[in-house]
Amino acid sequence: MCNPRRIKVSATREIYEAWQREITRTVELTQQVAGEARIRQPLGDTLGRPVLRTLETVLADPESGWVEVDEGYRYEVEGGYVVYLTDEQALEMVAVLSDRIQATGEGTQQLRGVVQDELAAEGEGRYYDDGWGGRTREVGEREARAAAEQLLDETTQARILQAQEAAEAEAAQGVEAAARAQAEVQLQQRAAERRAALADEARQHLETVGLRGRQVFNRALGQAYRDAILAYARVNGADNIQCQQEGNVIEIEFNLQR
Amino acid sequence: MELKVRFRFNTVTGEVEEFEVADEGPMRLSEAEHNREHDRIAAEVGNVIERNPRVDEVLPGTAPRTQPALSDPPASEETTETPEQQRRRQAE
Repeated sequence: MCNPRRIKVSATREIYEAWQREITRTVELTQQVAGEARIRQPLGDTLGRPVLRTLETVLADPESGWVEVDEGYRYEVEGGYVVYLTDEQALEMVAVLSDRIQATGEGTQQLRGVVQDELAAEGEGRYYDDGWGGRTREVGEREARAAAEQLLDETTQARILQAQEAAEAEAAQGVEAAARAQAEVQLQQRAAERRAALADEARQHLETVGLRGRQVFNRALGQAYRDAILAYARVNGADNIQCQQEGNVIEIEFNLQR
Repeated sequence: MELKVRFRFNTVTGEVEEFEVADEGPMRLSEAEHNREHDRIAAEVGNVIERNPRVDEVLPGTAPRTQPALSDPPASEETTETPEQQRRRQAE
């Protein structure tokens, strides 16, 4: 036995490999939806003008708890809110129920392609001049050729994978967009259905929410009555003006000479 | 006229429990004139809190009328539409 010798074999291969891959993208969307039921009570035809004026002043006071919104002043109560609509001079009680909905969209696309190339690879084998252990030059050469062929196989698979990944990267955005569009459609449909169902449910809570809203509003209305009456008394030169609030009752007394 | 105005409001029920304009002075006019003037002033005072106040005479020994609290509007006022939806529908 002597030192082993190396033998190298070069191989080439023309490849024409058709491939196919399916890509799938899933998009999940969530949305908060609310259903509302409302009841409106016009006040402009019933409350006196002085009270309507002082009412807005009372509601605008930051300490009143009412928050100024586009349409007027709003107060959150359990299960909804109450809003005084300044232009309409009306009180609106709104029962609100909300829920989170979810929709999923899936996009799929079949990708096809062909990898066409000419590949070259080199394999190495070993042998002994004296053919020790059966490792003759012929065996070494076969080993080198097999190694080259295996390398060609691996390179072919790598090229196909590379082509698939490149195609997937190019198509992914479109597939995801399709999945998103599908999810959006489903989400909007579900939102409309859920909103309607929540509105039906909210209608059943309207009486309770309305009661809460009126209790809150009555506190403000009491202050508005008080301020308007006291202003009238002062303007008309009333004397012995007394005003007190004990618990939930506001009492005013004054004397007027006419 | 020497008038005494009394007002009592319950902030829980929203009820005006008392709103009285009592004449406590001597009667200087004829009864009819006095009553007209008394009603006019009572309506003027009542107008502070109510658009069209109804003036009732409270005779001694009778209970005054109370102003009911804001009550539920008719069912037709009930809606699930938002103000924005209502505006859009009215515009159509």
